Amino acid sequence: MTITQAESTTYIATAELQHVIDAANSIILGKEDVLRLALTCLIARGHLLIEDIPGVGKTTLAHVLANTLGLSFQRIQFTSDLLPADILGSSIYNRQSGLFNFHAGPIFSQLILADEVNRATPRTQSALLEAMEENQVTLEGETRALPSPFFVIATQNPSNQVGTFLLPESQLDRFTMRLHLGYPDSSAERELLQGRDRRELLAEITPVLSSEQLQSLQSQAKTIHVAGALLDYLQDLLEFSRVCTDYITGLSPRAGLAILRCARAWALMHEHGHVLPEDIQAVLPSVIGHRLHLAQEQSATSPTSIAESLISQVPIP
Amino acid sequence: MALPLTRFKARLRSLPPDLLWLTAGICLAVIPHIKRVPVWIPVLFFSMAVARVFLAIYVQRAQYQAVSFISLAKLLVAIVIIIGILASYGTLIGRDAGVSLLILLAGMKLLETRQKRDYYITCFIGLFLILTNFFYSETLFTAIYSLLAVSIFISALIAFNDKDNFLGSGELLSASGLMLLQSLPLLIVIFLLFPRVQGPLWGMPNDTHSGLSGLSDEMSPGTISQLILSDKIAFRVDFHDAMPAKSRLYWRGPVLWLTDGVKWVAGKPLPLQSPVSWSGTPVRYTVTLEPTDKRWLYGLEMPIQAPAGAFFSHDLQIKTTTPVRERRRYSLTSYTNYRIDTASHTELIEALQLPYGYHNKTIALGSSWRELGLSEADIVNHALRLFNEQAFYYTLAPPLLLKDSIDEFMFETRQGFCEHYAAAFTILMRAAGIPARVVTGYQGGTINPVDGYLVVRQRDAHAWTEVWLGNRGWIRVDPTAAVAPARISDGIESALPDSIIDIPLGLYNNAAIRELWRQVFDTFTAINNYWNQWVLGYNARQQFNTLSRLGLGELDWQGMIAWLILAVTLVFLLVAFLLFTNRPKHIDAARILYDKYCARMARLGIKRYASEGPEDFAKRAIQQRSDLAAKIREITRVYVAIRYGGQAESIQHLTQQVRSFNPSK
Repeated sequence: MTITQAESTTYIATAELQHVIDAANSIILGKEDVLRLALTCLIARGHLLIEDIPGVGKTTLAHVLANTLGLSFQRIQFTSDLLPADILGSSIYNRQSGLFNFHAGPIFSQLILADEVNRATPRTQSALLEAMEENQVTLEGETRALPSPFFVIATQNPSNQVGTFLLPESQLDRFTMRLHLGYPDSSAERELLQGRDRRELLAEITPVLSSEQLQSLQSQAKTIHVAGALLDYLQDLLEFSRVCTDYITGLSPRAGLAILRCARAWALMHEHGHVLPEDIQAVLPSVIGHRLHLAQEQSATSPTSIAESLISQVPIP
Repeated sequence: MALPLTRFKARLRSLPPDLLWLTAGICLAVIPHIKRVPVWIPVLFFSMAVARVFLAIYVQRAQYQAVSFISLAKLLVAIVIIIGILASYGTLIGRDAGVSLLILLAGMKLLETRQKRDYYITCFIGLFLILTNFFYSETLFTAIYSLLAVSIFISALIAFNDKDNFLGSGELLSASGLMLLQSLPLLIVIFLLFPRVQGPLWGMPNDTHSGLSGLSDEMSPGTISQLILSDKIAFRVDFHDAMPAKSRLYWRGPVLWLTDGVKWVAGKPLPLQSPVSWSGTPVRYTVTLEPTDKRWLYGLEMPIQAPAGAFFSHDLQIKTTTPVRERRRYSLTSYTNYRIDTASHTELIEALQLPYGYHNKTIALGSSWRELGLSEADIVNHALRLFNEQAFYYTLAPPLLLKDSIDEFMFETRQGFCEHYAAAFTILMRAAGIPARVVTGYQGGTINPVDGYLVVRQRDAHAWTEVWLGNRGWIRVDPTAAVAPARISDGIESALPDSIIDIPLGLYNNAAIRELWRQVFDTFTAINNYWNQWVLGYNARQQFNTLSRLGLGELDWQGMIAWLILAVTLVFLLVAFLLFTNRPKHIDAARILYDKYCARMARLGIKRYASEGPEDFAKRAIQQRSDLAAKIREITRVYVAIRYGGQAESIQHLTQQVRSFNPSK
């Protein structure tokens, strides 16, 4: 009885999520895998870091997600002179009432696009990251809860570009996933060049999912079954990353939790009913790409290849 | 018509494997006994075993438990068995009767095996049955065979505890083999340290001696030369007077009268004993005879009177009423100068018996001498000269005589042992019309310088003849002495060539086979010798030496027990340590089955990578073998559901799926 119910809701969830992906796919061409991972991150209640060169559609992706999911959306352009108050908001004296009124900053929305987060000073960066971690903001002694769901998409230029402040590792760790968009393939690019303006298309998008539905998906993902054998596999992966001398530091327990949460969301999205080793392997490159660094920096080490080497070296128990 | 057969096949497949293992084990334990017990016992046993298997085919286990054997029927069968054994042996006690009883009770227990308890009891009865084989044979072969049977029983026990029939036969056997290997350290410790008792640890039943080696009352070419290989002591003699010359030490045993052309047997018992007259000095002595299980004693030719509990036969053999099954001491007085002057008419006729259709050339030779008109004494001398002057050889390994042993020996091979000479000589004499008989026994012996006893061993076994010369009575003639005088004067060792090899049937003429046989024989002898020396011969003295060499000093049995306990404890501690530290992370039944499936896929050339998840592997496999798609999907689905889904998919379903998954390339 309960099983059939769970199965049916999972099925509905998958259908809904497919709608979201289809809608997004019509605007961001040829990036379905990235879209899936971004959605996974969202369902896993994580925050997303998109790292890529300018102009490949980072901002558009955030817009698309906000529009299709029907979330309140704010974009914060990070610059070197941005202050924490510009993000969080501040109290302003109201002459008529004689009181300080709180003016909420852009952070009080469900989906935040933190554009070019590495151009801001570390002080401003940490204001955002603290909010991400705590899901609340404390200003002038008053704690204010952030809306739910709360999802941050930060974009970042590659660190070797001019005028950037590198995010420290401790703060990178707070992003559940890091994704790369990359150039579109030739057919997608041709379609992009021939097609209508993306901005017009974006405006036409109607929400496919309500925020309540999204929240229900998030709580469903929590209930996906995780067997002992799967935890064995996850632990083997973590243990290997800590023991193997190829990496500077091993994966943190937070990383382990992030992998598991994402794997659950991935399993939900793919109608698995329970988490499989394949689910872990699917989300692993995006989850550990910004956390695991090779001790000897080799020339072409994409996050995928680090994850692939980790996966290939750990047998599934 | 086909329906019952298919149903039978289906049921055969659903037979509980533990029962089959148990039945196989018990049958293995009984097989070596087949020739040792009356024929009805194995027949009854095997029919019970077959009946059990058939019952298992037609009655499912649950129903079988419900089938309650009527205790009266069981009692009746038991009574029948007991009466049968009593009728066969006259007793229920003793080695043979006991083993027979055990075999039949094991069969009955197998038949009523329903519950766990029955099962274990049957297993242990079977293990004890294996042990009883050592009452009969302690050879290396028996040991290896028993080990095999034990491993079958261990497999049966594992199969019984493997409720889901999860393990295949090979896995069961390898598991039990592994267990036996694991017990090796304990085996070595207990073998080395368990205190050996001087003499048997428990009294063996009387019928144990039926396999004793020694002279029998039959003789055919090879019977005595086999004995020569044995160093076993036949008897010891303590002379109270001076010992006679070695060449006069003829120890009289069975006298053989009749031959069918192949073997020689004793004659009909006759009531009257031939009177003997003596001269010279008496020789008084005491004989200590080792158990023979035969109804006669040995005495120096010629004793004047049979000892207490024994009597003379008409041909002057000392007979007993019961078989000699324990060491027996008896005193005798003999005269080495004697005459046997009278012989009954029946005796003389028997002593001229010739086999029909055999030894024609030898008989012709003998009768030609008579036609020459030689006197009886001349004929005897003529025959002895023939052996002495012509190229006759005395050898322990004579060429095999296939058709007519005496003709071939006399005219072709001319190599033989004492039984050949005695038999041929007797035939020659009978052909020449001189009554003659073969006497078997021992000749000579060696003085043990320590206690002065004369030790007569099996290798001193001998055969000679007596001929009836009318005016001088029965006269002993030893044709072997004509060929190899040293055999009589110096003993058996001096008369034999260095190498003694048995060569089987007809292979003697092929040099390559002979050499190969020689090597096989040597190797076998060496292995057997090691077995005898180090396993069977590991007695108190060897144990003492070994333990001293191991640095344990001079240990009495209490010390050995203490060391034994210490060593066994150490072994167990080691095992416990290994068990608790080297524990595998998990032994997941589904995982083992999945590995089996992966192994079968690998045989098709589709190998799963260690880090490849089941669904990914299934996708890849289906791409390569789309014909197996349904099977692969089902196995993967069930495996994933059990292992990752925590769902109540039955492992049996997976077992069946994997078992029946047997794709070919």
